[in-house]
Amino acid sequence: MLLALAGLFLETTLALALLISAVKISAALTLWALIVLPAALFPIYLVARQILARSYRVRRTGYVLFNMILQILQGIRVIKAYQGGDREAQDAVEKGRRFFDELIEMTRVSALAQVVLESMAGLGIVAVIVVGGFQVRQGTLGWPALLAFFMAIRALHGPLYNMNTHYVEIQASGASADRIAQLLDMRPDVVDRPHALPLAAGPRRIVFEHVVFAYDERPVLRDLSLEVASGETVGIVGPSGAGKTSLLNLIVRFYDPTSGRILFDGRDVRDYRLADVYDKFAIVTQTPFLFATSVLENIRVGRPAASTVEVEAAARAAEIHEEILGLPEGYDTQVGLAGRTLSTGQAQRINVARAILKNAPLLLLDEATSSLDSLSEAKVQRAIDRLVEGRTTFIVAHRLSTLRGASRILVLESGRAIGLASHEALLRECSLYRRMWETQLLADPAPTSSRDVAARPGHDGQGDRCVGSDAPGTGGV
Amino acid sequence: MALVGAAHVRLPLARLAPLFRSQKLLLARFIVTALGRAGASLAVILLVRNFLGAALGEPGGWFEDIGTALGGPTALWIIAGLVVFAYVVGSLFNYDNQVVQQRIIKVIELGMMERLIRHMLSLSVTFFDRQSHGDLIQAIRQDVTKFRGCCWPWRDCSLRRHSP
Repeated sequence: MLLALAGLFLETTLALALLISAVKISAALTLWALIVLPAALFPIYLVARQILARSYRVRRTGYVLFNMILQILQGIRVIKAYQGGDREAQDAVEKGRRFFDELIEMTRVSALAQVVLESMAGLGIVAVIVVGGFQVRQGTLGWPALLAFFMAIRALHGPLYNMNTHYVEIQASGASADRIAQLLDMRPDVVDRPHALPLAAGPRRIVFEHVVFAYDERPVLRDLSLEVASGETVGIVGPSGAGKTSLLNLIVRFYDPTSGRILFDGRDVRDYRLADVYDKFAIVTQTPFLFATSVLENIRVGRPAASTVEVEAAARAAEIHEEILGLPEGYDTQVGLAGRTLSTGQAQRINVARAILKNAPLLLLDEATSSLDSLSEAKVQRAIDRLVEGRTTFIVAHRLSTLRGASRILVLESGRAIGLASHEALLRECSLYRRMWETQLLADPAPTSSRDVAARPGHDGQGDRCVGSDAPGTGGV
Repeated sequence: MALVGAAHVRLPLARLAPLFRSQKLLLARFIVTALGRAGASLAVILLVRNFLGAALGEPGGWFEDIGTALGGPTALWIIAGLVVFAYVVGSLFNYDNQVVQQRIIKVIELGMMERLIRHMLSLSVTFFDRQSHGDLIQAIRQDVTKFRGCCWPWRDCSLRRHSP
């Protein structure tokens, strides 16, 4: 588009120069030569509108094709296992065909503009010959003047055609320009308030005050109240879609509540600078994420200023140091999208090392061990146990055995807190929790027992009542 | 440098040959429209030469023959009409030529894309683990379009309009 604009400028200046020279030779003849040009403008305008409309279809079919290719790359294991390669290839080719068909339509429409322009140019030439020839015979125009005029008019056609081509190119990039403008117009939902305050240290008390959160008008969390003290570990459990991950997203302020407040030491978290809030959190997600760089840099993301010694100390704490040394280039081994693939357990321990290195006062663990086999899980769990020490921690877990360090467990169901107490208290009082626990015991009786989930001294589980109803769970510390 | 460039081009051209061969009709149409366009340009020049000669009262040429048969003004209008007609025919040939070019590009690029996708799907999973996804997407979506440049050298000349 930028080249087309530059081209349009160049061609316009050239066309103007040629036009001036034609007018200098004979203004009347120039009028005759260009008299048909306005008639071409309307069809060209119509064609340009068509091209703009088609550019959206080209773009749409283009990204559908792109998605298809991405799907093949990401789902290669499933495709292979289900022998769906042929079907996927056919699907991709079909999508490619639609994309190219749209391109052909675009070419067809833009070539139509040229047909109009060239036909009009032909009429102009005829007009010049008839009128110019007549003037020469009358003696009002000299031979050399007619020859020079003819050259000027013929030369003028080139820039006019090119101007049309550039105009068409600009129209054809309309959908792309529109999408870029739309994206640039997007504003973040979560922003710093004016005069936002610095958050120097991790909060000593986090309070959820009647928090309601809806995602696309679908209620996810309803009237949640909760109080957590510094250093406490809170487990969050519940069926799929209960709002567990949304709760984590609210604590770290990836989202803001629809209503209600989250208070850090009595002050709304939205009053603090967003960057300071992010700075106080470390996150370990269900699917470990590795950047396309070295192992060293992957861990160092936790604290970019950290020395190599500090990175290695974090890796030791995460029980990954020895395995990193066993890689071909040790800490300099390239991993992630552009490099070596590590096992999920190894990748997750690198993610834990990253969190250890960040040394943030608040820690969010979102199903951090659920995608691992039991051997990897044991290693990652030991690393996480070290990470949790001394931090305020929120742990979302399906596997209740991973919540053994939690002083209290919040039970969510359909966005409501139906229980907040110690493991033992919930087993006694919360039917949903008891069902989840029994189901897991039946499925995997060996590694877990009620003794695995140890309530901390001082938490007797009496703060909450679990009746499986919509009563909000609250609990002080 | 030229040799290196030729080596680069030879490989894709050899692989593209079957795709070209399967599109004989399209290739024939491309050649016919290109020749038609050239013919129209030639006709315009010849017509204009005679037309200009007639308008300036030059003796001889087609115009005088037609003029003798149909009368001066009628002949003038006929030749004027022929000039415009030659322009229109030339532009229509050009229109079709551009559409045909795009169709050939579709056959080549879609064919190459299909070969790439099917070949990649036949590779083992370890290939996908080791390869950057960005690189593979680039190969399927963008690198295939580069064939346009190396096996379609006349495209720019024919797309860039040269009026008759």
